[in-house]
Parts: sequence; C-alpha cells; structure tokens
Amino acid sequence: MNFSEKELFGAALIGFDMIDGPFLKWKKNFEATKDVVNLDDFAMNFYLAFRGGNAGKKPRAILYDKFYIVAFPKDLELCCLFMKPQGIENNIKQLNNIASRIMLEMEENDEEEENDDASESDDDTVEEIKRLILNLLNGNEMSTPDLRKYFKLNNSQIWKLMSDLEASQKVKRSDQKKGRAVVWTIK
Amino acid sequence: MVSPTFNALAKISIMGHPAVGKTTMLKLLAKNDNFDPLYIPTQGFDLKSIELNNYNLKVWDFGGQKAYLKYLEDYLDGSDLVFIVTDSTPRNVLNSKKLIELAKNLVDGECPIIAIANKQDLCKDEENRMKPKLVEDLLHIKTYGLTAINPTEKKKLIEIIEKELNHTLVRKGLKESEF
Repeated sequence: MNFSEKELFGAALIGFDMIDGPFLKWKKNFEATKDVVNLDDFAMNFYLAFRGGNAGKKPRAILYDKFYIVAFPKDLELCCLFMKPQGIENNIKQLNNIASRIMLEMEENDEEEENDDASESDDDTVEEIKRLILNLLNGNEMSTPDLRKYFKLNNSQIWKLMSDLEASQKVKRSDQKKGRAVVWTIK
Repeated sequence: MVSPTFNALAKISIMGHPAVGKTTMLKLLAKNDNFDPLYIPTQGFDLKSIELNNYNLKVWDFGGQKAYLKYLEDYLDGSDLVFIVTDSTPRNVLNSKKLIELAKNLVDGECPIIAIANKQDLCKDEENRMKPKLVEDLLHIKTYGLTAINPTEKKKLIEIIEKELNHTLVRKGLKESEF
C-alpha cells in the first residue's frame, strides 16, 4: 500500500500500569478532526484490542468505520497511529462482497445438511443455553436462525431446545414469521 | 477526605456469566449511554473511566464466556471492589458460586466481593427469579438487588459503590469511620 503522511490525523501513546491498567500517556492531533474518536474514552480498549490475551498473534491494524489504527508495541507501551481510510474503500467494498457471499453459502449449506461438527451438549450446558435464550428473548422477538447464531448448535439442536422451552411454556411462537423461520418470544 | 492515592487507583471489576447484565450495569454508570435492547456479548473486556462524586473509577467489564476466564488472573489484580452479577435465576445464582471462589483467590482480602441480583424487574412476572435476600443466603456474600436496564437505578448503584469503597478505605486505614 502506498502511504502518504497526510493520511495520518493523530497519534497516541498508551501506557500500562499494573494496578491501573492501560492509560493514555500522550496524544497529538495533527489536524482538526470532528469526533472521529474520543481517545480518553477509547485508549484502554484500544490497548486491550491490540494486546489482550497472553499468547498468540496480535493485530497490527484495526479498521473502524471512519478510521483505522496502526499500532506498534514497545515493552508495555503501545503507540497508536490514527489514519483516514483513504483509498481502501474500494477494497473494503470488494471484501464485503466476498464476505457476504461466504456467509450466504454457509447459511445455504446449513439448511441443506446438518452440521456433524456440533457435538452433543451435556445437561448442564443445555440448561445454561436455555437460561441464555430466555434472557435473549426477554423484551425481544427472535427467529430460530437468529437465536442459533449465539450458540454452537446445529438446526436440530436449537429446535430441540426451543421445543423443550415451548413445552415447558417458557417461550411461545410469535404471530409473525421472518421469511420461513419461526419467530419466538417469551411466554 | 478521600486519599488521593486511593482516589487515583479505584478499580472496579464486574464479573458474571453471559447475559446477566454486566455491560448494562456499566452503561448505567457511564454518561450518555442509553439502554440498547439488542444483546451484544462483550468480546473480552470493556473498560470505562467514570467520575463519581468522590472517586475516579476505572470500571472493568469482563466478558462472561468461559474462554475469557483464564485471563481474569491478569486483569482482576488490583481491584478495589468486585461485583459478581447474576440474573437472579436459581441456576445462574448457584453457578455464580464458582466465580466467587475464583475471585476470592485472585483479589486481596481487603477487596469486597459483592453480588448484584440483577433483573429484579422480572421478579414480579417470573416465579423463578430470586429476591436479593435469598441470593445473599445462597452466595454468602453481601447482595444488592438491581434493575440495570432502569436508568433511575443509577443513583442506587452509585450509592452502593460509594458505600463499599468507603468501607474499603476505612479497612485500609485511609479514611476514618463515619460512625
């Protein structure tokens, strides 16, 4: 990627205190930017986004909607460079098309065949999933495929759970449908 | 007068199983954050700086998924107050016992571990949600009831935090008892 310094609109150095956690050590705006990011609020979360966890690979850049950050760690410190996403909109559009295609293919595959990878859950996990489903449906209506996205379950498994919850009168089918899918709500 | 050292270091950690209302509780404390009915699980951690009357707080909201538990040891360290949030269902309350034991092993003895019996608004409609007293009897730690989605409960939550941090200050000898 060709890089122009004009793309850089700000920089920040985030330090880490063992008691206090990440903190904003220094920041500089190279040009007036309106509410792109409130560094005071986000410094800590940036730090964890780039350095969270103890092992494994760490990201070097994270793309947000209106900007992206490239970060360079040194010891416990992290230097963040804030960039305007110039010239990458087209790439993002193309990548978005690919991602949409992959997700669509996955959904179609799921409908055609059961996912053999989904293992049987123990009773404890099943009960915990039921508790979470009831929380998700509290004040909301959600379709079976939407609910399924929150768990590692295949179609049969989510349907068995929903049938159990329906039989125990904890959930009911909404009058509406989302496409062909049943929409659920709390009873 | 609050010790300036403590003031700068006040760290609150919020733990609990998924979808019990940890992030909603954090949003209740933070300014200009409205309740969003769409549940989006916290990915790892969320952190916010919050100024109360006497305290500058750093509030750490830990994602409730099992995969994040292994990181708690690193990030719970130095907490001045730990909240264990439950959704007040019997099953979740009982499961929270393990989290309490985990927290007790990771924070120093002076740090209060307080349970929040959240979603108290649902107690009226659902027989299987528990009142704070019953949650306290089961968990054997001080428990407060809360409805984190209700903005009017912000004052109550602030009072809980100030009360518990005051106790910590007194225990640490950084403040004289008001009683």
